Amino acid sequence: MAQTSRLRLPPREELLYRVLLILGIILGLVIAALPFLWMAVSSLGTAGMVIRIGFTWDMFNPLNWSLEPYVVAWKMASISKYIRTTTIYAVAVTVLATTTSSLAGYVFGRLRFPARDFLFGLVLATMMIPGSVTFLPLFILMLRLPLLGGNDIFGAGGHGLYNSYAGLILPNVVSASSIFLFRQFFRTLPKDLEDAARIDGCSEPMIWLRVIMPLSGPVVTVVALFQFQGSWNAFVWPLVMSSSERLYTISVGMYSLAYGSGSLTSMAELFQSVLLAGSVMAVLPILFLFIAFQRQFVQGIALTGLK
Amino acid sequence: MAVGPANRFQEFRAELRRSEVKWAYTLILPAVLPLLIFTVLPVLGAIGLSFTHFDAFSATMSWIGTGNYREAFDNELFRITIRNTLQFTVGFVPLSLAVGFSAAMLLNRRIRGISFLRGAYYLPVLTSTIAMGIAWMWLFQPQVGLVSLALKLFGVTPKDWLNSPFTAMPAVIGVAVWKAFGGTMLIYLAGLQGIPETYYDAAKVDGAGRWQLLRFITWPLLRPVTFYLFIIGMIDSLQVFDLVMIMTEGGPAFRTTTIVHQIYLNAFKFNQMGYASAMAVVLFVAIAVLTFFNWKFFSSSLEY
Repeated sequence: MAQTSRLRLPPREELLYRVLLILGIILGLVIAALPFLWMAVSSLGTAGMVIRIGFTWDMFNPLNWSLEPYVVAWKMASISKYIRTTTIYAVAVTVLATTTSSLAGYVFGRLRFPARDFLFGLVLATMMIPGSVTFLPLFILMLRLPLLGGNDIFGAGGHGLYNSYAGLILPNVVSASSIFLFRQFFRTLPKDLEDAARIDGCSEPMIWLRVIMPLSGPVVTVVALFQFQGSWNAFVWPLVMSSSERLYTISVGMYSLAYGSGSLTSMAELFQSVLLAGSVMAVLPILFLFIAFQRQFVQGIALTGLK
Repeated sequence: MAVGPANRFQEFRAELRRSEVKWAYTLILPAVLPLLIFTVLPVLGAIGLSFTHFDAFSATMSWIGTGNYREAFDNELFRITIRNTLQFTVGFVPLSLAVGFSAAMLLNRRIRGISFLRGAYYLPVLTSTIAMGIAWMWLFQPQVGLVSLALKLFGVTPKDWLNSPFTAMPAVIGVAVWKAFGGTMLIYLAGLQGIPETYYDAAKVDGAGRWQLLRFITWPLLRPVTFYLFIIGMIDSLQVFDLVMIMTEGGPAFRTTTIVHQIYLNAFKFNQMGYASAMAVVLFVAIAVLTFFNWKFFSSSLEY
């Protein structure tokens, strides 16, 4: 608070306050950042150096760094496959959920139709139902979808959408909180614009596409960023929905590596560094995204109150 | 009757209305239908399944009434699970609020590099829980991990933190707080920026010091934010899963297993879908109650 620092204290106490403040900020920075730095440095250790010796100042000498754990992680430990799957999954979810949610947000925010408030109440109600309650029945539903994946009309015989991209993506094609966010934003836009478009014979989807969306860059960015970040890190749903490595997202893949169901256990010397290298690769895309869009991420939190 | 201009105008308006309603239903369909199928239906499914004995792979189902619920509440492991989840909540919620609030107080100022600092504090929130769980397992490594090395400086004997009954849960809570406090901080920061500066000016005229400003203005005015974060924190705590899966797998000896972890294990490792559904329903009820309190509070007292 700029205003509190204008308080007049005796110079000695003022100085002490300043010093404590700076120490506090630095302590916070260390706590927040140290795990990342430690992870990055440990992942660059050559052949088990890290595991054998633990902490040495030599670790921070770039001459001792090696990318070997990254090469092993990328090639032998299937990280490249996981990153590919995660990218497909996250991009699909982001594009689909942003589109469907903004369409629904437009309708709920700007159009009048029977049962609007009831339907919007329903959308809001689904916001309080978390994935940890639904993932089990949802799994059964996807497994037993009629007429898909070898299932008959009663949903028996095959495996439905289990272990498929469709099964991974479908339950995430819409996000209730994004609908809410879009609706709140769209309600603030002036009505004249779309009325003009309507008089000119524009249909509703055209108004959404040509009038509303071009004015909504910031909110679209916020929603898309959080959709991407959420699906990039997704764990529970991909874990229960995939049975083959082909469909492992990076989090599921890293979990399976850590608990030895991958092909990595034989390389004990490198094991820890490879795991950490994989973790670094799981975090890097989000880190870049955050550096590029920090303002939008922070505004998004303030806007939605979501964590 | 001749069609006058007024009539044509009305026709045009009615036509617009019809088209508006038609499009409205069409355009919300791709959002509302998936929500019904993939969110509402599964909740009903969970309630239904919780009264059955169900094997998903052979698709055999038998009705056993409240058997799963009775089994759960008679079950020692379920009691341990509830106790663990509550322990996590009791540790995590106050700590993440306290750390988040402190961070917000530290960073609520206009200095150079402030957005970098806020970003750095917030970054753990955005990263993969599994990846950072792996990093933290390495930090908790008994001999050469940073936690052991740091505590050695204070004369604490290193131990296998994640495999010892008394340190596993505190370790998981610590990492969860590390991962969440940035979000709490941002919401507190937004709250702090909403407090009018005149309040502080008036108090300072009356001779209030820094501590008094915090105690009598900032903290009371942030009470709605604290309440909101408190409820959200509890809802998150009841669902903790990823961190437990990667760091401890519920161990040692069930010391860190949680409700969602037990739902997962019973459903996907022991093929006890009905029993797992009963636990999911219990979780759902708990979350619904908390959400209701939150909603009740904010619809009645949003004003300072």
